[in-house]
Amino acid sequence: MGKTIVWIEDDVDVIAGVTRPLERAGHRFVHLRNVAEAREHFDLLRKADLILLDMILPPGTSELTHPTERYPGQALLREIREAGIETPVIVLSVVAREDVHRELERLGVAEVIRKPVLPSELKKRVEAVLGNSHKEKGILAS
Amino acid sequence: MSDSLPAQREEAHKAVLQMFTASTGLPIGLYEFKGGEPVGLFPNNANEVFEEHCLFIQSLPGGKARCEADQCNRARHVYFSSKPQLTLCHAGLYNQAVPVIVGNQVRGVLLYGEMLIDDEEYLEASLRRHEKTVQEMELDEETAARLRELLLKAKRYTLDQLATYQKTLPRVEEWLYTLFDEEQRMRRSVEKVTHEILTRLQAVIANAENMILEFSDCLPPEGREMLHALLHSALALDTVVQNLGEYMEEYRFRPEPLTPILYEAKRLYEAEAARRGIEIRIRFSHPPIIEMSRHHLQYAFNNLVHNAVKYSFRSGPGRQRYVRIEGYPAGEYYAVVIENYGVGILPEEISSGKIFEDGYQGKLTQGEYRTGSGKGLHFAKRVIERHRGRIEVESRLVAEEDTPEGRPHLNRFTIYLPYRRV
Repeated sequence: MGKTIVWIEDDVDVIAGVTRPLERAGHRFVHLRNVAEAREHFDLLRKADLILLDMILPPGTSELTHPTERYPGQALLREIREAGIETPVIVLSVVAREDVHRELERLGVAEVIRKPVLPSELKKRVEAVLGNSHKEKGILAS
Repeated sequence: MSDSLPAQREEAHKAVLQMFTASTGLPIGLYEFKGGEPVGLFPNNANEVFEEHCLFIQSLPGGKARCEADQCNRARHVYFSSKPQLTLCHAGLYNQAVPVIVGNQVRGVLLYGEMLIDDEEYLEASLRRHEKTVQEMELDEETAARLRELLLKAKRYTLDQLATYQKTLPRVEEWLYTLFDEEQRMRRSVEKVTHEILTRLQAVIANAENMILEFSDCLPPEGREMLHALLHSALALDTVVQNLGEYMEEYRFRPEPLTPILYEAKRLYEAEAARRGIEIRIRFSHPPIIEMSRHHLQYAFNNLVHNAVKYSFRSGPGRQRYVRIEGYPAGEYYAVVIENYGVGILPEEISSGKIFEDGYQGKLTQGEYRTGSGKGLHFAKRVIERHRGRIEVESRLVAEEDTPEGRPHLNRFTIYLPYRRV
């Protein structure tokens, strides 16, 4: 059965093709394009089956939402977790720094996938995470 | 020296401070302010030049803490005033405190000296301050007398002598900070441009693979071939961007089979090799499992295979050129040989290790037929060494003939990786 994946990415118009195999497999995508938009949709993030998140995001408002943050996506993820949202997250980003990775692990990111990635590879890794989280939900439910 | 930038910068500052101490015989510290708190950086040779007076007072109960707190306070004062000052320490010695200012911002404070000033008025001030500390620390007569004796034995400088140091050292530090700032700006710039490139590259890779997966059957063979070549070119371009090193992932080691990596590298460059009439031959005996960080090792072998293809001579009538990739167990290691016939490497470039230097391009490669960034081998060596392996190079002239592409060499890169048998 298809899952709902929220993809937080400002360049979705350019790289939409990377999720095409997932869409053809029946998964539904919702696109949020900046930090402000993501903040307005915390309920959606809570209910989604998976969040796909870029580290480099525009603020989406005239105010600097994270003036000292080099990677707004990282700060957004902190907010998401602080709001008690436990939806599995896959980071899909060009950013691959070790210090960023350490915090991502601490924030319980399921996978970090470096762009560029083959669409077939992304599908495999997303479905592996969806499969694992489904199993976890099954265990909790029983 | 550490690989990390902050550690490298720290070493650079320490080297400058060390030179100051070595040439003047004066101890020095650089205080930066992080989160409003002073953090001191000292040269490795600082202890060699501390005044006996300072060493003695720091050996007394509470002495070290008093000295450190006093130094930090004085540095803090100059940091906020942004003006150089001759400061008197709690125990009666003078230090010159000079702010390092870059672009109207105080980046740090240099504190150096531990000396007496050769002037009656200054000496009296030293003694008065010294007495105050003796009382506050409640020192007994003998200890107090010893401390005073050591105070009066401290180095003496005139104000003019101090003024000389004030002119030169802070300028050196200011230039160092300026260079670091410029480097940081360039890195940010590279990061932004690379981000743009990788985003567009993602689009090319995604669309190319989607077309292969969905429309291959509708295309004639040449069309399918072109699509595959497009995808592999885009993946090869990703390898070039990776060589910048800025977007490398953290190393994550897992046991994985090695041969898919070499087959993938062959796939990426097969089309380019075919256009040059070069065959890539690949053979493994006892294919191994290697503890590897797969993406890193993939990029390393991509570079090595691409170099072999790029610097091979073209095939022609009556001659077939090839790149040979062969793997075999070699004791505790698995050896992968990547061999080609083409442009050579000078013996001195191999023996000196220059061929692996970042940005270095072999002299024999700098002809009109090929271009390169000089980063691939440097990158590959770093990755292989992180895998506890090593890389060896041989380049042998095989014929004295001069061809339009240069003199033919047989080049062999042998990569040794620790492994376990499958």
